[in-house]
Amino acid sequence: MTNGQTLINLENVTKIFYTDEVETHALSGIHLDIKRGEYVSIAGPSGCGKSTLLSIIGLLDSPTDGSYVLNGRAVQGLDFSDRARIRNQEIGFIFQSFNLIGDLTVYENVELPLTYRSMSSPERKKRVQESLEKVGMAHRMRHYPSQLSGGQQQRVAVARALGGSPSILLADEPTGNLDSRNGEAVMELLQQLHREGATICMVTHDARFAKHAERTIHLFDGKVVEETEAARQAEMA
Amino acid sequence: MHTFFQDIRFGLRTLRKAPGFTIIAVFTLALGIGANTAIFSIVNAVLLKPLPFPEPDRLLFMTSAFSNQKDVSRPFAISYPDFLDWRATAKSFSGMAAYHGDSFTLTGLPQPLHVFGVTATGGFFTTVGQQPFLGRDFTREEEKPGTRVVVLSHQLWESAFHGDRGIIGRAIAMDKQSYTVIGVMPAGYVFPMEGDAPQLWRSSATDAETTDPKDTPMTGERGAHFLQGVARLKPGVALESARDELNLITRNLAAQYPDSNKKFPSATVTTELEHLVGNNRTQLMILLVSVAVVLFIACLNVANLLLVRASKRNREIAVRAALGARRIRVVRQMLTESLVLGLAGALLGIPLAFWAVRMFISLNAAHMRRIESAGLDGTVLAFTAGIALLTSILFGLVPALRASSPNLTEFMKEGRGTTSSASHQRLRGVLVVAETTLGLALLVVAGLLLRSFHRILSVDPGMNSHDVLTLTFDLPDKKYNEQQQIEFYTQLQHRLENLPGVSSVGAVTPLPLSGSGAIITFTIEGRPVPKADEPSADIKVTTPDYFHTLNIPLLSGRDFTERDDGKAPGVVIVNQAFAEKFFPNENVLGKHITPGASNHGKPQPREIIGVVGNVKSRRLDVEDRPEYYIPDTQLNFGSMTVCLRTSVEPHSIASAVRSVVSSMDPDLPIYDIKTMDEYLAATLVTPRFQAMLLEAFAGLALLLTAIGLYGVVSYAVAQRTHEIGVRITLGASRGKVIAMVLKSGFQLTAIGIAAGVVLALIAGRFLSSLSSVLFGIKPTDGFTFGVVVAVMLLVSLLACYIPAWRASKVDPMIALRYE
Ligand SMILES: Nc1ncnc2c1ncn2[C@@H]1O[C@H](COP(=O)(O)OP(=O)(O)OP(=O)(O)O)[C@@H](O)[C@H]1O
Ligand SMILES: [Mg+2]
Repeated sequence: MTNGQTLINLENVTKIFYTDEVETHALSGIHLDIKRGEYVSIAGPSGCGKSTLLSIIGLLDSPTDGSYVLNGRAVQGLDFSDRARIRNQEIGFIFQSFNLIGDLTVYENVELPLTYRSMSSPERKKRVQESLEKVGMAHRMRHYPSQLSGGQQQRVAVARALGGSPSILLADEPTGNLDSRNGEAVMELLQQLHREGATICMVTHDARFAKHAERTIHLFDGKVVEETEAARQAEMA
Repeated sequence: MHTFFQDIRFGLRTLRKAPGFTIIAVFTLALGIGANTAIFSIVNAVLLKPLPFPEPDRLLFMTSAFSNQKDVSRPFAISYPDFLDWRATAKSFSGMAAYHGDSFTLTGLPQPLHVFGVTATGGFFTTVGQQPFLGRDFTREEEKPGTRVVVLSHQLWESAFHGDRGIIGRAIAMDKQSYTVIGVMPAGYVFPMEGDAPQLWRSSATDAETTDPKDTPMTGERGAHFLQGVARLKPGVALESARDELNLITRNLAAQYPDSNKKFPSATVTTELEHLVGNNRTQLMILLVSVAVVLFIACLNVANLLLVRASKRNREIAVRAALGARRIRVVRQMLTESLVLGLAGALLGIPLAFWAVRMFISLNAAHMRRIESAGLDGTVLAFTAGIALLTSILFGLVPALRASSPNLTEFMKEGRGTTSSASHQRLRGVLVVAETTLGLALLVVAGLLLRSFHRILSVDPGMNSHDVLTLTFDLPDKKYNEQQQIEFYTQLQHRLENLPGVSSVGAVTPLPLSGSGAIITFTIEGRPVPKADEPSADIKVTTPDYFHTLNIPLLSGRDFTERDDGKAPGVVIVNQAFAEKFFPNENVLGKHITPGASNHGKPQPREIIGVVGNVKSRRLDVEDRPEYYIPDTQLNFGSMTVCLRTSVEPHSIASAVRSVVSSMDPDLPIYDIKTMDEYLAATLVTPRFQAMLLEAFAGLALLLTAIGLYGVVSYAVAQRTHEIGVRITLGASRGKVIAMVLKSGFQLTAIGIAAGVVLALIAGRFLSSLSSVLFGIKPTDGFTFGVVVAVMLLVSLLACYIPAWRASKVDPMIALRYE
């Protein structure tokens, strides 16, 4: 599925948190390449730095050291507003706790990231509709998140991530808040998006879900300890 | 009772645990309660406290009421004959006396002493209700010609006569005559209460005398209105029926003596208190309503804070409820906390009020009667306690009711209580809108009054009041006859003109803006009217050079000269308003009028020789009135005020002026050396006082509103931190986040402003329906509304900006964290 083009390149990325004179080395010397169209999962025990890595990839945080090239552009030193713009255009987030905004309808939630760029309202409408259809939630456009089940909420969140046609979807434990049946359904959805060409990077510690990915990066104590390819994963399972 | 103290203890403990909340709440309440206490203590001192006389409700003030076809009736001084008829006929009163202000010069002391006093009819002190502490009241016998009796004030008795108890029956020298002291009043006795405290009272015998036996004494002049009346209502008689009786008598007098009385068909009878301070009622009520609004805004703010706390305490309360606490118990607990806050606010507010009252009094410089007695007495403290209690309930009840009914099932489900805090948030928004509405209306009212005040300031008084020194002294009739008085002023004028720093000198009576005025009727040649319908206008008597000295422009004709003396043909100068009113579209020069006043014999026609510009003689905020001027050489009108135009700072030559006067007559005490600017400023004290206080209260309201808005928006931001984090994650720029928060605050402000504008329009209409509140400005003044709305927008922008900026700094990582 990859076309060989590198979308994300992390070189020697380090992240250190300083809190009350305590240094936490959340990431130390990470090298990572993600190609366009790839489906990568990040696995590892709690506290090993998965979310930290994802937030750096997602430009929510910047590395303490190292370089990050996204889509051919060095992004490690950008200021807040540039990062916000790139996040908005290049990255789609899917969270463990869905993070839909309770006061907005399904439609408005999906539209939200589009309102942060200059896009005409008919164009926005078209995109919102398309992405809601993709996740099978178009019939619930006028509902509020509290009126939906967890699985439905997560599907709306996926639609929100898709709406802006990002270069990559980042998902942090997307099934963590769902029962297994709903979890399966969401994984199914990601799988399908991947087949349609989306680049996905997902954090999960559930081996069952990790196997959907073509490649799994194992983190331990802030370092990449192992990379497994889909073929081997299947074998192991 | 036990649980009450337990509640208080628990309340104090929870308040101690939230010091930030407690400090803000107590301070907000202290400002509101303090301001109310301060204004109430003034209202109490001025309007409510009874007068210091027995049965003050029955102490009445009486005057005639003037009315012609056009004017509505207005109070006007009484004449002796009218008063004597009232006294002889009326049955509703147990006592009645008439009096007029007077000034006397006491001699025979180490230095001549000028005192302000009163001339009064018999039974004066009995009517007022206070007997002399030594000696006795005046009798009616002592109204008869030839009597010379006085009653001294306690202060004069002590300072001039060493508190000598043997003074009764002794003779003292006054105005070159000998008077017998028949009484001394107790310390602190002040009546009449308007103006300076009288030092001496004299029986009205002098008004029953004339120097020329052919003349009628004042007691026989029905047209000479210069008395005020005091009366005591008989027990069991209603004020209304006493008023009716006096009006009936007055109407009969008007029918009996149409020439003099047609324009005085009724009487004015009010309580003495109403007469004294009735004018201040409107002004004080406006202030009282304004501070009440401020307090209400403060309550809304505290209610808001309590709602925040309530939503933070939802868990505690839900647990209590789950454990079976009855709702009333929870409400009581929370109300007890409010009460503790309210009382703390009152305790802190009282010293604030004490300080504010001192400041108000010094600002007002005693221009409002009785204000100096304002203080924190029992009544005021009871009021404070009352409003503290009331406000505690006002700001505590809604949050208490809200908090006491948590939705337990939601708690189970949500674990965080987000849903109920959303409805709290809505309620808090409503409170802020209400604050904005009230704050805006108050700002508009304050703005209108400030603009009125500036309009008054910008009124051209018609003269140049800068660099003018004025001095007033009495030339006693007994020492200076008419001719000698004229000569005295002429000579004084020449001597003063030679002082260095003096460029010109004139004299006038009554002095413009000094608070005194005189109106005299006149007839116009060729327009005969019945005596009763004669027109009247303000009159002033001046020396030549008066207009020149005050820079009052001579519009046409000529000024008085020294040749316009007693032997020359009678002349008069009129102001523009006079010319326009009585001679519209005519050349007024050369016309003749006959003022109803003369030195001797029948008044003679006078030729109008000049027209001068209008001068604001009484106050700046009244229409120009017709006025006419007569030279002092042709009409003796009593002592004049000398005006000097100076080329140096006016007060710097005061002592030189004093020594010139005493070199001419060492017995003449000068009792008022003031600049014209000081007289002008004195007329502005009251509007300035009102505008300043309202400005302060409106500022306070604005501050409280801003704090309220800040609180609501900050809290909303805190509640929405996670959501804002999500938005930032999704690519919202800082600007977008700031705009979003500002917008949420602005929505509240906008609704509040819209409602406030409506409220302000209503308030403005009401203000303009009150007399002499707004001057030269419409209640819908666009400028005021525009500025106020702009200020409100700006302030709410600032109030929202801090939380908005904080929101833009939310770490997007928050979105990744699972709660
Ligand atoms: N803002 C922060 N300040 C200080 N330390 C942090 C911060 N964020 C993460 N850390 C620390 O960095 C390390 C990596 O945290 P991270 O959230 O990336 O772990 P994780 O692999 O996502 O764990 P989990 O599977 O439990 O979500 C942890 O030790 C964590 O305590
Ligand atoms: Mg994590």
